[in-house]
Amino acid sequence: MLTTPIRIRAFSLFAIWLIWEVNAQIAWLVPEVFTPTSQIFAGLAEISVSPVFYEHLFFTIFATGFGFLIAVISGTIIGIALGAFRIFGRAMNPYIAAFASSPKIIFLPVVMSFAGWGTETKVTMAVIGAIFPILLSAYAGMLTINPVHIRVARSFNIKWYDLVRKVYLPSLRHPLLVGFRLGFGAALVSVVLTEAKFGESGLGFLAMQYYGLYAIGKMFSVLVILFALAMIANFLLDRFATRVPH
Amino acid sequence: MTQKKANAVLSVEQVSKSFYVEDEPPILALSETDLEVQKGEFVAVIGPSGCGKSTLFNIIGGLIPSDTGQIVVEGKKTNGPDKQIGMVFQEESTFAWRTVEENIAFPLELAGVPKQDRIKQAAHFADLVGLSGFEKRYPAELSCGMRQRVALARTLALEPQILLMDEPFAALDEQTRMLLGEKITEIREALDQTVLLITHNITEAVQLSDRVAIMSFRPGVIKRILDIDLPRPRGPETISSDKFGHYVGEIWADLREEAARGLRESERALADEH
Ligand SMILES: Nc1ncnc2c1ncn2[C@@H]1O[C@H](COP(=O)(O)OP(=O)(O)OP(=O)(O)O)[C@@H](O)[C@H]1O
Ligand SMILES: [Mg+2]
Repeated sequence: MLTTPIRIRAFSLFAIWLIWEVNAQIAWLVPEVFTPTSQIFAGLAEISVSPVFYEHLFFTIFATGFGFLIAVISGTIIGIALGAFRIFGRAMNPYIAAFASSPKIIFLPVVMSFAGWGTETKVTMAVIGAIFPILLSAYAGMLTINPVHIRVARSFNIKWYDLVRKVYLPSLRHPLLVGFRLGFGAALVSVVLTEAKFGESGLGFLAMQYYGLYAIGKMFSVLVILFALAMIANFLLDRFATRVPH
Repeated sequence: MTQKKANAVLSVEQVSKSFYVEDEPPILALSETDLEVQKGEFVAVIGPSGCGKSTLFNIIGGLIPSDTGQIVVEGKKTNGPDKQIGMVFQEESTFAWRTVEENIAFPLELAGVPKQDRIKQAAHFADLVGLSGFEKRYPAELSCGMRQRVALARTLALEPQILLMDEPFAALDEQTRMLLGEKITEIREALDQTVLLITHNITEAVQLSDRVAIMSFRPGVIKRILDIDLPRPRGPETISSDKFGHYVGEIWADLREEAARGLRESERALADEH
């Protein structure tokens, strides 16, 4: 079924492709970078049969996913704790705000001196990237929990862990989902940046390598794959979100 | 008096509570308040806005500590929320992410009742408040009055001996309120409960109660207790009777003073601010 949003989506994709292709054909704007799309498709076809590519893909997905998972768990816990203990939350707020709005790449040298050049560094960077949007949205959500729900729960003599599981977490379902989405994006950015800068593996490293070799078509095909990865992750989170009641 | 005390299922003894707000004189919300409720009794506490009704409700329910005095349930001093007391709140309090049956089963879930049993019990209490057929709905798909009944059923699910209600029908229209009042009376009889209803609605107080406790405004204290000697069930004929009207008039005469004082004081507070 072709609903209107899908048509708009398809049309805008087509329009971008057209502009890109025309630009490449008339060699107008930075033609050495904006290669004809046929080259990108050729690059995609080529890397999709190379086992090395899948190794790099796996490294990126693993570091992003693992880091994201750690950030989901710890960010949710920290955000809830900050909201549950208001004084503590208010005290830490300026620090969190400062960390959250600083570019995470500045932590890279420190992380590398602890974790070396490998996957540990990437995972750590993913955690650092993803944890702030998650904990901030959990914290913000905690401040908007309906106080009467807490009173109801307390009137039933609720245990603290049941309060967290059965009142806090479900109350936070919407802000947490937003946090997870932003967090996943941040994790992927952190991992790819780390790979591009210092890594020896992963899609970020691969893209930089192709760039170094002036294999622009292949470089773009790696970017297309990263883009697709982000879209798939978002789609999965979306699917999860529709299962959550209003 | 001493004999009365022996039968009291709930007693409020010398309870005081002050609230401290920055840069303001402390507010004495309750001042050495006493109240005794007998087993099976329906008592309404009525008073003007801001006189300390909700404060009393929260203290009896164990949600906030009192400064002095104590709450005694069946001869035992309470410490925090008591299993014998079920609370129904003034605000809309259903959990939006749970269906009607999951809402009602919430306290059973906390008590570790197995899923099959709690669904069965939830269905029973949904039926009791007139919500059978709506078990799988979410609160967002219900009317205001239905949501308040879900909250009531959720509290009833633990079968508390004492039902404590803080203006549970305040947000509802008159007809729904009256019908729910009748429902509460039926349920109380079926479950053999003691009910303490907090309200600012005089008709509601007279329609439902055996006794009406009238609170004064600042300091909040129970100023007078009126016995309502009307036959039950109290249908439309009772409500339109002279005797009913007489009770309403008497309570209003008492409350009027307090309400007027409350209004004057809040006006003065406003004037001070400007
Ligand atoms: N947490 C609080 N902090 C400060 N003051 C409070 C607090 N709770 C209640 N008060 C004050 O105590 C007084 C009694 O409040 P309470 O909520 O018990 O009144 P009420 O009789 O339930 O009023 P209403 O009928 O409007 O609900 C009010 O003057 C209120 O301003
Ligand atoms: Mg109140």
